[in-house]
Amino acid sequence: MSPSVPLQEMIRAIRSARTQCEERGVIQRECAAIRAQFRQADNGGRSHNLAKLLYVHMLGYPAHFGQMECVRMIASPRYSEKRVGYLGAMMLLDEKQDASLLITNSIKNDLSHSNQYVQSLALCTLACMGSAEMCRDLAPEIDRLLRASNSYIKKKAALCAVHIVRKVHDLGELFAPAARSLLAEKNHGVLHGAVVLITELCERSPETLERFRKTVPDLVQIMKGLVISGYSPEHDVAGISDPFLQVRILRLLRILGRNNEAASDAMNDLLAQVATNTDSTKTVGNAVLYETVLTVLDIKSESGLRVLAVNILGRFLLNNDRNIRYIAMTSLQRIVGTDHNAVQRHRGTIVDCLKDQDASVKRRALELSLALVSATNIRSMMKELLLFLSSCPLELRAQAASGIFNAAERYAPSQRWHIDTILHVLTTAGGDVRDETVPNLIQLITNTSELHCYTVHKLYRALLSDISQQSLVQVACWCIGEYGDLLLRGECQETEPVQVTEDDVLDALETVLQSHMSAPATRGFALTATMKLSTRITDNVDRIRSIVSIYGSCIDVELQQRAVEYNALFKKYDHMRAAVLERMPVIEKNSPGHTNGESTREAVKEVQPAKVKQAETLLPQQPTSQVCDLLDLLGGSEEPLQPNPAVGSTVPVLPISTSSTAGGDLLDLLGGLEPTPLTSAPTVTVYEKGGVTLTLSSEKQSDSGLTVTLTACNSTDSDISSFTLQAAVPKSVQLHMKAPSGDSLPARGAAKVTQMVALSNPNKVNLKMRIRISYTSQGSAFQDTVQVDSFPEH
Amino acid sequence: MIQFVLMVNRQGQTRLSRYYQSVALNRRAALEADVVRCCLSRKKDQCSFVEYKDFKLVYRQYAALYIVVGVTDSENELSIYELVHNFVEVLDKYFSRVSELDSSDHVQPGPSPRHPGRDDPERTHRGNQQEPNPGAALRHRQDGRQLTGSDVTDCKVSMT
Repeated sequence: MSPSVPLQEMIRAIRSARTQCEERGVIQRECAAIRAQFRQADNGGRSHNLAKLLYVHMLGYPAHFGQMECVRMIASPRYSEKRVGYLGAMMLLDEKQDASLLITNSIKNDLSHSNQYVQSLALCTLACMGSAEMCRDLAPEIDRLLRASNSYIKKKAALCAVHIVRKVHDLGELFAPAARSLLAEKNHGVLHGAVVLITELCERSPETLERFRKTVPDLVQIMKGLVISGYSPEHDVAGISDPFLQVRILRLLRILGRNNEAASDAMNDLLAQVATNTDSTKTVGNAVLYETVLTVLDIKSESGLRVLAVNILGRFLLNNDRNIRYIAMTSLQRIVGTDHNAVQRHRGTIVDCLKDQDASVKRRALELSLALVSATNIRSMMKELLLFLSSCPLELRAQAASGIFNAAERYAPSQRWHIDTILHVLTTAGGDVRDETVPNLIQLITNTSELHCYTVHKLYRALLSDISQQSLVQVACWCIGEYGDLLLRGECQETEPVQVTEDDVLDALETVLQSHMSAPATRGFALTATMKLSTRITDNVDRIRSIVSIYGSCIDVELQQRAVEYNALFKKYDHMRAAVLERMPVIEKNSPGHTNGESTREAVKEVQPAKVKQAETLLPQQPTSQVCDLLDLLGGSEEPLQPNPAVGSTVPVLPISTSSTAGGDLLDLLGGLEPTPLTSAPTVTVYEKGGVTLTLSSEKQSDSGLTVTLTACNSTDSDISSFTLQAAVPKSVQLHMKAPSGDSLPARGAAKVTQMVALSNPNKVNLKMRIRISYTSQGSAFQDTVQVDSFPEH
Repeated sequence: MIQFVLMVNRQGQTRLSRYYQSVALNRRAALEADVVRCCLSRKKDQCSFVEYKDFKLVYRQYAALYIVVGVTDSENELSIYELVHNFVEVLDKYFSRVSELDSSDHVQPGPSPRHPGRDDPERTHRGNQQEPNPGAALRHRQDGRQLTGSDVTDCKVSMT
C-alpha cells in the first residue's frame, strides 16, 4: 500500500499527467489508497483523504465509496473533520442516496451547537441537500434560528429557509412571520436573505403575496436608504451601495406591484428616484437601472414613468458595451407589443445594431426591426433589411427572409415594389425561403396583370444569370411558360427593351432541365413551361416536340409521365392543344397562411368563384402538385383539393368550354374522376325580432381564418334606416369588419344589407361573437344585442 | 436562480465546478465540455451572455481562466456579471494576486487559511446571494480566529 500523499502532491501529479490514460492511472492508484485508509479505524489523516476524494470527484470520477466516511466524519467532535465531512456531504450525497438519512441526527445536534461555525456548517448542508423529510423534521429549528440574536446565523438560516420552502411548500406559512420581522434588520446579509425568502414565499402562494403587500412601504424605505446614503465602505461596489441587494429588492417590488394599483402607486416615486439618481457609467449602475426598468414595465406604473423607462433602454442602446446593448434589445422586444410608439423612437439605433458584430445582438436587432415595421417606414426599413439579408449569418437567413415576406405582404406600397422585393429576396437567399413562397409569389404575379410583362422580363434575366436558387427558378419557369409571348414581343414600358428570340428562351429552359443543380420539382416546372410555350411561339414547335419526347424515357417517374402525356397531346390531340395550354385565370387567395383580415392594401383580390385551377400553386407537396398540374391541363377538373370558398350564398359556375368536354373524355380515360359538386355555405338565423332578421354564414378561409357574412332583411311595412352592426369577439381573436353594402333596409324585404367580417383565430379558442344591431325605424331608435356561440362550418 | 458555476481554463480543463441543481455525474462532463466549447469559441467583441438550451450562460474571461455561470431566464444578467467580478475580487483580496492554480491548489482542510474554491458550498448558497461586499465578509474573520474556508465561502455566499 503506497503511503498517502498530501493533497497538493496529488493535485500536482494529476496535473502533470500528459494523457487521459495517465491521469486515470494516477487517480485509480490514489483512490485505492484512500479506500484502504478508510477501512482502517481511527486515522489522523482522515480529513486529508476525504479532501482528496472530493477533488477527484470534482474532476468527474466516481467517489461513492466516500459517502459513509462523510457520515462518520460529520459525527466527529473535531471541527476540521466535521467541516470536510459536511463538504463531502454536500458534494456526494443527495436525496437519492440512503446515506443522507443518516446525517439527519447529526445536523439536528449541530444546529444547537455552541459554536456558530458548526451551526453554520449544518445550516449550509441542510440548505444544499436537505430532502423533504429532513426539512420537515428540522423546520422548527430553523425557525428558532431565524430569531436568534447572531446575525451570522440569521443570514444562513434565512437561506436555509428558502430551500425548505422550495422543497416543502406548506412550510412557507411557518416562516412568514419570522421573515417579516427580519426586514427590520440592519445587517445587509440578513436583509438580503430575508428579501430572498419573502420573494420565494410570494411566488409560491397568492395569499402570502397579499399579506406581504403591506411591507411595500418598508421596502421602499430600505431602498431609499441605499440609494441616498453616502459612501459606505462596508457595502460599496464600484460606487453603488450594495447593488445586489438593490436588485433583489426591486425584483421583490416587481412581484408585489404586479396587477395591484395601490402597491404600484407607493413605488412610483422610488422608482423614478432610482432611475434618475443611479450612476450609469459603471456596469453595476446599469444592472440596477436594468432591474428598475423591468420593474417599471411590469407593474401598473404611470405613463411618465414608462416613458422614462423606455428612454433608459434607448440610452442603453447607444452604450459602447455590447452586453448592455444586448439586454436593452431583449427588453425592448418584450415591450414592443404594448408600448409600440415609444420603441419606434429608437428605430434608427435598432436598425444600426443590425450591423453589429455579435450574433446575439444581430438576432435581437432583426426581431425588433421586424416588429417595428409599419406602413409609414416600410420603404426605408425594407432597404435596411434587404442589406442585412445579403450579409447576415446563415442561421438567421430563414428567419429574415420570412420576416421580410410578411412585412412586404402587409405593408407593400405598390405591387411593383412588392414583386421587386420578393425577387430581390429570392436572388439573395433563395435557398432559405419556405416552400410556400413559390405558390404565393405565383399567385401574386397573376393578380397583377399590368405587370406581367415587366415581371417576366426581370425573371428571365435572373434565370440567365443564376439557376441555382430553386424557388427563383421555379417561379421564373412558370412565368416564362405563361407569359412567354410577352417576353418575345420585346417591348415593355417598365424596363429597357431587350430582344429575346425564341431560341434563347428555349435554351434557357433546356439548361434548367438538364442542369444537375435542378431539383425534380424544378424540372417539372421547366418541362411544363416548355410545353406551354408551344402554343405561344410559332417557329420552334418541333424543337419543343423533340425536347418533350426525350423525357418520355426519363428515369424520374413524374417527368416521364408528364412527357408521355405531352407527347400524346402533340400526336393525338393536337387540335386541343391550344385550348388546353391557354392562359390560366387569376388564382384566388385562399391558401393557408394568409390571414384575410390583415391586409390593408388595395390589391385586386378578384374573388373568382368556381372553376378554380388552384391545384397547381396551392399545394405544398410537389408530387401532388405535379399530378394536379396534369389534371389541370386536361381542363376543367372540378375536384377541389381545398375547401372551395363560396362567396355569399350564390356560386356562379363559369360556362365550361368545349375543351373540357373533350377533356371529359380524357378524364374518363384516366378512370372517371368525378367533379364533386360545390357546396354552398350554410346559413343560420341568429336574430329575429321586430321584423328584422339577421342571418349568418361562414366560410373557412384557412386554418385560422374565417369569413363571416351577415345578411339583414326587413320584413316590416316601414323602411329602416341607419342600420349598423357592431361586433365583438374574444380577446385572442382578431376581427376586421368590411364595409357594409348599405345602411337602409327597405320594407318588406325588397333588398338586403350584407356585411362581411373577417376573423382570425390563431389560438383556436372557442369562437363567439356578440353583435349589436342598431337602427332607426319610424323615427325611433332601436338597439339590440345578440350573442353567437357556434358558427356553422363545413 | 444560479444553476451552476464553472471555472475552466483555455484547454477546457475544469478547475472548479459547483452545481446547484442535481446533475448526474456522467452528464456533468458532457455538459461542461459543451458549455466550455460554447464560450471558448466566442470572439472578443461578442457579448458575454449566451443562450444555451433552456438557460443563459454568463461568462467572463480572466487571463487564461473562464468563469461561467449558468442562470435561469428570470435573472438579471448584468447583476450576475458583476457577481462574477465580485467573486474574483474576493479571491484576489484573500490570496493577494490569485491565479488559476490557486483555486485548486489550496484545498488543504484543517486549520489553515487556505480554502478557496473547494469550500464552495456556502458561496452560492443554493443559488442565492448573501453578503455584498468582499471586505465585509473578510472582516468577519479579523477577530483572531483561524481563517477557514467557510469564511471565504461567506464572501462568496454574497454571490447568489
